[in-house]
Amino acid sequence: MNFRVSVMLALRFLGIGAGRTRSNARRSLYGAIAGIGISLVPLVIVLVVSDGMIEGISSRIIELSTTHFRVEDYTGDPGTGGTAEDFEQIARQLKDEDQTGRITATWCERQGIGIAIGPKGRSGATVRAVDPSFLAPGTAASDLLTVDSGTLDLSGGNGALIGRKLAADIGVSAGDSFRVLTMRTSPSGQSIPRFTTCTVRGVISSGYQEMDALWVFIPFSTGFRILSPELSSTFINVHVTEPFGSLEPVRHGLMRSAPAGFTVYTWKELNRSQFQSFNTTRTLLVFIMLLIVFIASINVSSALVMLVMERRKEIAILKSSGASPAGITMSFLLAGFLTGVGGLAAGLPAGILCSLHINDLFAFMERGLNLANRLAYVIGHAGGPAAGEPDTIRLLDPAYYLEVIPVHLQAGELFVIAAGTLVLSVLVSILPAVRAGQEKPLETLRKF
Amino acid sequence: MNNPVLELHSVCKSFFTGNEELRILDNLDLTIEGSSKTVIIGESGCGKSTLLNIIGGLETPTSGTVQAGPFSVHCLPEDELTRYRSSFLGLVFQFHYLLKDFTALENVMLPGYMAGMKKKEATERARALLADVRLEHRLEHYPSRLSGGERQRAAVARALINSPSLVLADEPTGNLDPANAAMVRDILFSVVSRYGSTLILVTHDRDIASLADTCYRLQDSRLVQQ
Repeated sequence: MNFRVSVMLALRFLGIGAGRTRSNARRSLYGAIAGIGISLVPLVIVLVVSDGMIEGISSRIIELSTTHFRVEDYTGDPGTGGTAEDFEQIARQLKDEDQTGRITATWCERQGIGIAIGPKGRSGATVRAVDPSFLAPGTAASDLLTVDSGTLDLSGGNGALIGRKLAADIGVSAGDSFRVLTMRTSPSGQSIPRFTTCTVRGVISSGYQEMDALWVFIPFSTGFRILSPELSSTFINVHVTEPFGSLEPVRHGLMRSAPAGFTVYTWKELNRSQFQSFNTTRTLLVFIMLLIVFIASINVSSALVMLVMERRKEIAILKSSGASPAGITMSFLLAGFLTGVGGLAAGLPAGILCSLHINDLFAFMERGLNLANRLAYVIGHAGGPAAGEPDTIRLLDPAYYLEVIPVHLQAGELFVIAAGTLVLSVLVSILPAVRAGQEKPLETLRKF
Repeated sequence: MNNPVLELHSVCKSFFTGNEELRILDNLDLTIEGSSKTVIIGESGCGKSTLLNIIGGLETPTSGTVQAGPFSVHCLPEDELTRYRSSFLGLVFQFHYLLKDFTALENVMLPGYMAGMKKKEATERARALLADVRLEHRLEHYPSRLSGGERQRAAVARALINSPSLVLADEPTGNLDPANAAMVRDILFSVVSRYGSTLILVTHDRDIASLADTCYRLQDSRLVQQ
């Protein structure tokens, strides 16, 4: 019995070319197709959304926060006299001595903790004193930062760029002044506060509110003055081409060029715990979704068991007409496989479509939920005074997530989903298919 | 005398209920010549179908040997049984057992296709066979759209698709009205003759015996030539 016959039988079992014949088992198979299709939609969405979220957050962290490499004096003493110029000289040296050709930019940064004080209130802030070239047009930072008001220019004096959330919290906008409280340590070891008045040059957003709620950018020279070396850290940021590629050659080059006492950290080391957390969450979510697909695949098995029971007479007559047990088994395996293909054909495009429009879907669902919430609120207050508005429901609170989920379909992952689903469909079909192949023709024919 | 196409030696078949033995066939010897038409008659429940099932490899004898052409049917492994059924044997049952998801043409061509014929060749042969059984106008009809007689004629055509040396028919007219039964019977005998196959038909209808070259009666677990 050749493979083509098995394909022909499998197609007929699924009702393809079978005229208007009725079959309850076939209905179950269609149900299994729908089950696989439906279970694939959330799996694809979870993968695409989690990848998008991780990628979106990661790129912001890598480009705006830790950068690709950080060259830092681990002794805590700059060792070169400790002036801003010394650090700038090291930064230039690192770029000039690069032999890999991958370093695109180096700049100094001093980072410390402070309190931003505005007319509306005060809030803790991460004060980042950076070289203005970090935010120059055409850089990754300028691409990723959105300017709500003002400009992205940090050159000169006490100008500052402030995160959107922080600006809203302390009540400032472009052109306003606010004060930054930092600490320094006296020679006797006492902490002495220092107030510095800054002018808001621009209100910016990284799209990730955890960053927007903390960041105050000031010029490196100003930061070097107001942030004490004891209570802040000074380092040199390095940007390279292909930050997701091999970083070791660049690290070795930087280690050679950096003065004694400096060490080099890659972005992977600096963000290890965060990325570990992202990946663990993603793996767990994908695992749960895979369980749903697995359960849906079990439907294929039960539908095939029904099909075998229903088609015992046909199996018997096929065997008495010369069909081999292996051929019969193959027919039912193919029926299971084709059921998987059907589910895949329905679920994968639907999942991709939903993923591509995930932001619209969230917006639509939020609108629907808020409308229902408002209706419930109005009905709940019918006959009485309605005080204000109900709280707005946010499915993805931008305080903790990106405001817009970046969607990047990864062909490799989709391929793995497709292959996995098909393999699963075949695996769960093995038992009923083997059972079909072992049917004894006479025993069955006697019953009919 | 033609070469024998089937030889049964000392075939016994017993069924056991607890310690009680019910012997259905008792030391049967039978030799069937090639291209002959043999009818085995007997009362219902006398073991005619069991005998046919043993010859068809659907059932194994308790003892004895069954030699059908090159096949020692009584001891064939599963894969050889498949080859025996697809290359040497054609089966017609009392019920048509057509596959409901396949048209009449597909039902007939399928055993040929399964036996290794090209699809086109199997289809052409099935078309010719269906014409032989006067179903050329019903090729694309599903079994549910065929009458009882037409279904059984399609089953006859299906049994002949692989040009079997031996055709076994188990009460092929048992479920039909007299007119259809006569038509199926005539067609079966004439088509089997045309294709040069050997026919063994079991029935309790004595009238069919007149069409056979040889007629046996299965009585008291033994075959008696009539």
